[in-house]
Amino acid sequence: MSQGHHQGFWTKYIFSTDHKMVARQFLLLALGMAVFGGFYAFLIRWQMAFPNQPAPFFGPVTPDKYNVIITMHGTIMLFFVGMPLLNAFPSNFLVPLMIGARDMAFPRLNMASFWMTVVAAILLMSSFFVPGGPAAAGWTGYAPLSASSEYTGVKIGAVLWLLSLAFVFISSSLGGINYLVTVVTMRAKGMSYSRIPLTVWFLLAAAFTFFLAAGPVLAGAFMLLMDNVFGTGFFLPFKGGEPLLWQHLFWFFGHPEVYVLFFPTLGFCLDIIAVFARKPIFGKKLIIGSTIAAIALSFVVWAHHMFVTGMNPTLVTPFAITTILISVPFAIIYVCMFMSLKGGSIRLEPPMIWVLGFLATFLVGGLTGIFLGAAGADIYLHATYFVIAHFHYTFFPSVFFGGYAAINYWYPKMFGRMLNKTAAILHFVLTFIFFNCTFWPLFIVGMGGMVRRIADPSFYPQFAIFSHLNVFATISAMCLISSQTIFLWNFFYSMKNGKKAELNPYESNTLEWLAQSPPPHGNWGPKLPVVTGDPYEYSQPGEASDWKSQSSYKGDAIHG
Amino acid sequence: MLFNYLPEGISSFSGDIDSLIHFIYLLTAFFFFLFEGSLIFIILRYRQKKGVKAEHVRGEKWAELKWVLAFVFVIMCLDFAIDMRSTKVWDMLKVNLPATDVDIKVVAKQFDWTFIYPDKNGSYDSADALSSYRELHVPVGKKIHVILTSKDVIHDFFLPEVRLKQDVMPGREINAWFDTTKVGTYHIVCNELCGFGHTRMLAVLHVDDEKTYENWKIQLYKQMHGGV
Ligand SMILES: [Cu+2]
Ligand SMILES: [Cu+2]
Repeated sequence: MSQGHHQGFWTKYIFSTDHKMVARQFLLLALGMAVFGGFYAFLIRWQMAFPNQPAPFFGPVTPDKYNVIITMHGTIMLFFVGMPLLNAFPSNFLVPLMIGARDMAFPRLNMASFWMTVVAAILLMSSFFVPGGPAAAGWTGYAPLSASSEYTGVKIGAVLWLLSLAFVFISSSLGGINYLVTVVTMRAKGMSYSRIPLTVWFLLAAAFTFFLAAGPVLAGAFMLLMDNVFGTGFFLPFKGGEPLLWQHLFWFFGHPEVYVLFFPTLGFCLDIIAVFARKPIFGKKLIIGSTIAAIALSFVVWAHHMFVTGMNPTLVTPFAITTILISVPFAIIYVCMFMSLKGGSIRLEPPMIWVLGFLATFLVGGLTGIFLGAAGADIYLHATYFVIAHFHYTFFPSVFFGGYAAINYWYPKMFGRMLNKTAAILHFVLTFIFFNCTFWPLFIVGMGGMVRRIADPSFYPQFAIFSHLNVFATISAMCLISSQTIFLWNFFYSMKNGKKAELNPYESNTLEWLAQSPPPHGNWGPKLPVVTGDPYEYSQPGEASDWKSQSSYKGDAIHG
Repeated sequence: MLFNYLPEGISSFSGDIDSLIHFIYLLTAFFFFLFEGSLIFIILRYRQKKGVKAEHVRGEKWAELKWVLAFVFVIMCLDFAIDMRSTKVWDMLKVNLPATDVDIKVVAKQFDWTFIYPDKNGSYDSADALSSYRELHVPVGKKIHVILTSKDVIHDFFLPEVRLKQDVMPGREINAWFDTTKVGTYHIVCNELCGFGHTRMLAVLHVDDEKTYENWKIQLYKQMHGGV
């Protein structure tokens, strides 16, 4: 292992192979792209509340621009914010540290994975400057709308969108291989599979789920590319193609992808609960079993996005049953989390507050999914604002509450400084309030029959009765977005000016807290930690201390 | 709260869909309060106190787990209850097409709707077939059979007051049915993103009494054939 070498600027900060630097790069990329994703969210909300009034910093949101904006908002938030923030960043930072390795199994593959995501982002954003503009067929890219420029006037933009997603997929696959191989081959002595912390388990579950799901949609995307570039017609009925085929391939990926963006957060939550409730995780084996069941089920539910497409209607019922059954494994995991909190000695530090906020909000997303999984009710609710509210109540808690929990928790290890606690709590309180104020009204609006993806609500006099709700949601969304500046300030200010962090500020058991803050290149001193215990040995009866590290590693004679 | 703006239902099955939604609402509301209540209780009751150590429970023994599994079993039973009610509604509306009184072909294209009424022989192509642009007239109380097709991309035929939603696929003819219980003017919305003009792809549903409906057809015929 090459530790202690002097690294130049380029190898240290730009083309770095160090897993911690790659992790920080992914984190910064996610935060940077979130600015765009958030701005598009603002434009969407603006147009719904104040149709055809010029939006600040933008101008009028015309229908062609609106379709671009919703497409970009979805694509960016899922693939350029959600996945880097919940998969690439924590996997890179935590997997080697939590299993006691010096780096990833394939550091250069790791670097390649980051730079491919950068290429993907550049391809996507460059589509704003090509004739015809960026893709405008929605983030789901339904064919035939997405398959031929005849229908949208977008040609190069659609190709760039597909290429960009291809790069994201390759990058994520390379990353996933890396995490899996690292965990299999590079665990420290004594780190048996049963001693691996749940964060690592869930990051692996996400990578594995992504692998299983990505193949079909890549094939589909290739066909869509051919349709666009060479006029093949795989999805064009008038050339003998089948539009529904795209939806099947897309959602076969799309539903598991939801879990790719959800499992990491479950892992963070469980580890943070154990630390801040000072308790072992209740029913750890049951949780792992339920997760495996949820992964299996996630591959047989995809058609719940397609109930009203005209697919075989007798096939709908089995999909409705599997969909609603998914509530079983997740109910188990939820109850286990509550049981882990119960009887604890709960410390309301910022990471824990984000986790509690996640539990409170994600619940709404889970419960409202039942309305849509019930095919009979979906006939009315499909593609209304009820759906928008539902999936924002799943994605936002997963990506942002989960992501902020992780950043707050591991920040001292990443940067060697503490975040400002007051600012962190204020950020949480405002985000929690304004998130609910933004999306709760949309359930009511959706139940009132307002349909999604309309560029100009002023064409719909029947929606005027709830325009006050739309205005309320929009103002809340603007407050929600503005509140994130508190986080950005705290994040960058504390990097230089925060209180110096101790090695293990929360008295956690897992290995990463034994390394220096931040850990040097190579993570550990000359000797690797030897693991002697379970990560969840908290509040053992008869012990004086309420925690017991997984290893007695002392960080001996470190060279940076 | 949730149902403040739910449009009035005007079909024989709108009540079934609404009561299914209400049923799910009651169940989910119960679990919402149960979980949020427990969360608040746990946070208040188990906050860190000086000298009080957390319990050490691992949830690996059957005695600890059996209540969790019993609770989840209840959830599974409720899941099936929802599925059964939902399937009943679904099958009635989408699987078992009843005998219908009126046939209408709905043709969607970027970005408008045309409704074609067949001639006496059931042909949609003959000169006597009526075609109405952006206005769908149906006789109240009758079962309407709609044949949905698109000339370009995917659209969606959404009648909020009727509680009917069905995608309209290019290259296919999809059969659907609905009926109405109340005379009036209602909405037809395209509910699938179909391009830059999607937002103005609207139409009007006129539910007429028998006489008004027949008169309208005669008027339309005259219009189309220069007042014969
Ligand atoms: Cu899904
Ligand atoms: Cu449309």
